[in-house]
Amino acid sequence: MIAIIGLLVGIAVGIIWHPVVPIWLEPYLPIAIVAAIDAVFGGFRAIMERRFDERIFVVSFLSNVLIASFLVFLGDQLGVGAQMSTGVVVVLAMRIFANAAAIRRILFRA
Amino acid sequence: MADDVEGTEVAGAGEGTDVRSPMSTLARQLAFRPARPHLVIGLLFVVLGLLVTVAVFRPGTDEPWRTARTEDLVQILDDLGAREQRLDAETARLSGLQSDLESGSTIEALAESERQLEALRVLTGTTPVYGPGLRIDLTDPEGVIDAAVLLDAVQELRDAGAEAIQVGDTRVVVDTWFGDGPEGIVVSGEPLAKPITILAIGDPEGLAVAMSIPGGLADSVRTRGAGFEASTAQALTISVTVPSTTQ
Repeated sequence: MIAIIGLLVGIAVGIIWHPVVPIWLEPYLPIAIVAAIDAVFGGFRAIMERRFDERIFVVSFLSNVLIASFLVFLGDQLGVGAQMSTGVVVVLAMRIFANAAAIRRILFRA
Repeated sequence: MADDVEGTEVAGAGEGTDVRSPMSTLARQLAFRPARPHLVIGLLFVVLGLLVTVAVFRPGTDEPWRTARTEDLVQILDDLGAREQRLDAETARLSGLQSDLESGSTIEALAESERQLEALRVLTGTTPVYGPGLRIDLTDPEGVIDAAVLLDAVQELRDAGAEAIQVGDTRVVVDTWFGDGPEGIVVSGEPLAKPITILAIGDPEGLAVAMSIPGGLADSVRTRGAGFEASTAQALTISVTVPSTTQ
């Protein structure tokens, strides 16, 4: 419940306030979003499997975002930023699909 | 995180009631229970929503080169550089011409003007034209040639590079027209005498080839049953002129 409220508040703030992302942060924005969505799906799956823990969710959310951003940063420094972004996104997307499949199995038994 | 194994060890509420349905688990977890960890989670979702909104409503994402790859940008830059060089060369040529014209060398200015005047005179038909060209004779006893054929002929001759054209006794200029009258073809109001003679000044070979291509003038005239005769000439004269209005 608080998650949905938080999401709505975030979207509302974003639309009303229109924050400008600093240019150096821009390449990490999509990666951070995908990583955060991965964490959200993981948390949702944990809820369905009745082993959800707030602390783990918070830590995994933050570490996911940070590690994904760091990988992209590292890739940029090594000159393979675009490929690294693609790789990170692919891996995160695979995890999201796996989590979605687990959630689906529990929810609909299918 | 779902695959964090230690999640099972510290998993929160609800041990011992394993028979609940997934839906009730979901409902229970989504219930509004304000507590500090929940606030942290809510904060994280605020951040997530903010990120998504910022990413979606990012200003200037409609600029195509904002997301273009480096190679594409380099290509675009190269194109722009080449274009700039061409324009620079054009600018240099034109400013050279301008300084020539301005620097009092009236002979050059005069020669340039004379050249342009001569070209314009030929185009407007206010001066007689001599030179190599093509003479076309159309014998049409049955009157099957109409204005459209002549219009096509003039168009084909111009495409083939004819500088000046005369049809019958009329110099073909920009406002010459062809029409079908009761007694035959009318050129700019004057009836056209038969046999029709067309004189064209220009490269004789080029003009002859243009006339004899399949579907060209020779083809269409002969298909209609009229006679077509073309002869190249090294010295042809178009003496008919159009009275100039501004000379």
